[in-house]
Amino acid sequence: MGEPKKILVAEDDPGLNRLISFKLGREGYRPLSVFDGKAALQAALEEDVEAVILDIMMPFLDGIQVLKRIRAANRQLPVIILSVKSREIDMHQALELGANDYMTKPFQPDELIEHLKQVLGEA
Amino acid sequence: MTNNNYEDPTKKPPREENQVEIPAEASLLVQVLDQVSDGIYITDTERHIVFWNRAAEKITGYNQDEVLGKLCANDILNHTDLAGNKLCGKELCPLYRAMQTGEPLYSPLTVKALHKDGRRLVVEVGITPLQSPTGDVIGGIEIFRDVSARAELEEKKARFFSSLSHELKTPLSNMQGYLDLLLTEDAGPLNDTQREFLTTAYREEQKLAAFIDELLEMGRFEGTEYTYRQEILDLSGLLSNLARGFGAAAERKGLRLETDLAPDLALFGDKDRLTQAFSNLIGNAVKYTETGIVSLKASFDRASDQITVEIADTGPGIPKEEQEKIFEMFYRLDYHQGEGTAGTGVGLYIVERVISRHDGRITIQSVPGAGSTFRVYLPGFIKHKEEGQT
Repeated sequence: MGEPKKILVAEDDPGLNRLISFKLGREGYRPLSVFDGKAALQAALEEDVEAVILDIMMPFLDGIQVLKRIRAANRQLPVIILSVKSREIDMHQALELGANDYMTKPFQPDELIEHLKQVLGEA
Repeated sequence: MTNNNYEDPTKKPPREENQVEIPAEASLLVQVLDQVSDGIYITDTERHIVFWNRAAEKITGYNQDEVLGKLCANDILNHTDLAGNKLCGKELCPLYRAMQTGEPLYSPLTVKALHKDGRRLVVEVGITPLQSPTGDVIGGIEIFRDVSARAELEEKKARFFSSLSHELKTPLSNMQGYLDLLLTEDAGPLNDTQREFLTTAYREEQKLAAFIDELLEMGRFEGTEYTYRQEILDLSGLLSNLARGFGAAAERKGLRLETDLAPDLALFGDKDRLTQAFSNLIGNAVKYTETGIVSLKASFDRASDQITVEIADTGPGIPKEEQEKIFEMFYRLDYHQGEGTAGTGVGLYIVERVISRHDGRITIQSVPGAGSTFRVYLPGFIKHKEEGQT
């Protein structure tokens, strides 16, 4: 194994962001935390992250817009969408827009890691 | 191209029809129609307006003189679906379709119509072809009701539930996530008592989460009939995305999710609701099946203009005596009470309601121990990509 892979965690809720980042650290990844959509887009385009865990409802720019712009910039970065379940339309929308995977809240941290390994081709 | 065989060749060209004097015995009928509180108008087979009642004047702001002889389509009401897509093309106009098939629209459509002052009204529309005594279609009748106020209230309610959902799910996700980290000993080793207590807290949190989930789904769903968005939607695309979404979940359980979807299946419907309904069906199949295959098929029958979607699993199946009850609200099968499948039983109830709202029906075929097959029948059509929509 070389350098730990840098994973972008875009989630505006501080508790969830810390939770995901903590779990990523335990699993040998290097989390990069951002708390709004603008910061998420900037980091996705400028930092050498290898995957993005992307919340939908975020300040400034929602996750859907961030995803659209990542894809418009032609970045084939793996993106996992995190959304609340009763808005399942997001699953359809997210996959249509080119998300690689989709998870609903609440989620199990272990499950998130499995999804991540899958999109990174490590599974 | 156009199917004109219902037109009566002995009649005068339709454009002159509105000049025809109403016979005396019919004036009684006109008086009655003017007393009705729903807007009513009648068109000829080319959709020129030949009758327009008082309620139609009141609802739309146009009086009779302004509309007689005009095309209902582009000139006056300018119907669009709730998403704003025009419905006036011959392929899409419900009035035109009713005249072509000779069949009324079985359930009312909710569409937008233009008021004279430029406002967009939300109207509920019923459509029937007008037939001569010999059975020829000689025009169309549209009956409409202004439901704008109610629709606005429903929009507000939908927004409220959407934000409520977010507000409730975020703390729940935190609770479940941190309890999970403690239980997996990611934050250090636990003694037996600590493990026992955390397990209880985790289990109860899961029950609460499932319950809130269904309450939200129910609240979002009930009493929202006027916010059904009737738009032309790509059902093949919707199903294939759901299959992709649930495919990953199935794979992680060691299940195979097979699909066989005909391309270009389309229907008039509510994308959000149908996504919810098919998610519930596919989600259930994946959730309750431990080994084997979940399959998703969709096909089109040209003779009946009907789409069939089939969701089959190799799960535990549903006993015959339970099969009728599963679409009732709050009905749950006993073996679903097990660990990890908490719920209140609104999923299939919602499915059934959504499907019937789209003039469809759902059937179930199941053998306990061998699996279940749900079939959804929906009126639809084939829409090739090049005909519009990007």
